[in-house]
Amino acid sequence: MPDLTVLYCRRRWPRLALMALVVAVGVTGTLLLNSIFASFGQTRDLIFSSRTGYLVELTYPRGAADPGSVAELVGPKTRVIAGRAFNLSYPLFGTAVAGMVAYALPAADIECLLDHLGLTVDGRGDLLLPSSQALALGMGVGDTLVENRFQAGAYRVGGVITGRPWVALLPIELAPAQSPEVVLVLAPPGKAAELESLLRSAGLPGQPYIWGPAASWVATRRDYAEYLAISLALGLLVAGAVTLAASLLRQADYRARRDEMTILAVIGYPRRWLIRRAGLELALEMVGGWPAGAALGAALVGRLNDLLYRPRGMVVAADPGVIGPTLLIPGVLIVVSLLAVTAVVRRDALEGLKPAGLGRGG
Amino acid sequence: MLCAREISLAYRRRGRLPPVAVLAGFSLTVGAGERVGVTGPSGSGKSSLLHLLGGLRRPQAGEIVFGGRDLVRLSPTELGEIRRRHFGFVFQQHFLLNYLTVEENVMVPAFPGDGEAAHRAARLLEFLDIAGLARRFPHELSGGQRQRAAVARALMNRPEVVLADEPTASLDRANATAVMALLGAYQQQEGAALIVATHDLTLLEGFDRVVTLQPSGEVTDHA
Repeated sequence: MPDLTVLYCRRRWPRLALMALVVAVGVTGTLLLNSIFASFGQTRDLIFSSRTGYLVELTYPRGAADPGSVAELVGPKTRVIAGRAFNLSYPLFGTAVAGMVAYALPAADIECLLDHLGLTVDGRGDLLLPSSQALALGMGVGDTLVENRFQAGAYRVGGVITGRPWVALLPIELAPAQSPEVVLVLAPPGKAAELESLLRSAGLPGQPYIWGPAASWVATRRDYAEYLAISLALGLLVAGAVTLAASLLRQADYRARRDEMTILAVIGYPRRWLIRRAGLELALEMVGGWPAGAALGAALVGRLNDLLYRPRGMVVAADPGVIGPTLLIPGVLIVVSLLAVTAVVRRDALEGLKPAGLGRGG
Repeated sequence: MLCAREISLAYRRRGRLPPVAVLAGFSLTVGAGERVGVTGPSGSGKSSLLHLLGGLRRPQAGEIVFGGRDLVRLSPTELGEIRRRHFGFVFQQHFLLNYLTVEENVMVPAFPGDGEAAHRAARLLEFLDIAGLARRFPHELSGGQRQRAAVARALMNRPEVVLADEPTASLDRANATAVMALLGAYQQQEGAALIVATHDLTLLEGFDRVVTLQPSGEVTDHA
């Protein structure tokens, strides 16, 4: 009995066409999932107090909070300097907040912040977490040393940061749905106590730290919409072009494949064998095509970042974060395809032979 | 050997239209080494009868007994096993797999671990006078050659029953005669039962029996 799965590889074009389709799905899926996960981001407000010089960042659960009312908590002269913003990082694996901090403040601003703290780049060894520890905390988002350090600080890993006030992310355990989840306060050195008092009087418990000049740039709803639109356009463009090319080849092959399944079933090959074979072949194609698609999608996101967002101090959708979720795509595709194959084998091969041209004799 | 008793088959139609009865209480017994022709106009149920006899379709009533087992009651897997081991099918179209050579196509029905498969395939190709085409792909063959390859595939496992549904409909007269002669030769050589559905009565000359089906459901069975 010839090995049909192996021998089918003689028909390279249909197989490559399907792989190309999978690649396109990978690209589109990566881009779209990026957008979807980005849209899960939390709502933030950056509030600058002209009275105290504090920059307060408030992060809310999605869809909650009224920045105006929160601004009042900080002080009457507080003004919202950036309006409502959308976090473009992933809320996955605990990296969201750290990522957000890093993204909200571009590396240049962090450098500036560190300068204000009297810390030079070379002198910041005491702030640096061992990379293994940072990784254990899920801090893989930032791509610069400064960002990584900042993230480490954002998580306030106790004594590791040598007692120097750094960044505090305060989990606010307030019951009302309108309350912020976390408050990041960037305060000048020596002003932490004052700010803490201020926040407490405003009903926000926690320990504020750290001075910060101001975030120079904040992501806005418009940025998010722009990113979503670009992702969609790129995804659809890639998917459309590849699908068009590949479907022509697949169309030519579809009837042959259906007839093949039919004749094998007629000969007596068990349905399970046919379905298993189809599943195996699909899986092989997915294995070949999906990583390429996901990598291409991630590369496109990275390119988007380089071209559009990094210059504006923002990083959209860290590349590694989307790889995991997109693993679902080939799985779903395989299941759906197998269901389709099962239906075809059952319907066409044994019960409805006419679609394959068998039994037209009358 | 193969016995259909009081089988009925009707095709359902969409909506509230009544089902179309194809066979109603039809009975047929085919013995080993017997050649039976099935003829009738289009829509009379020739193909449906062959599908029923070959275990490709189940009747709504009646039984089809082969080797002491009622095919109607067998599971799809058991039916598949019987088809592969005991039945050979030839259709109007060749349905050769386009990515396999002729030789590989002929070996498709072989069971895993069948060490004799290659040898048997080679002999079949010789028997059908297409041994020189063994390494060619279907698209490199003429229509008659493809159909011969399809016949070789049907005979691969030395079936006890060969069911041919309009096997010559797409062939010219010379090829049609040749294919029928080959099927007849195999039937005589192996003592297999041969059941052929065709419009062309001339192809059924020399057959032991000819069953004529009518769309009305009338059946004529004459030797």
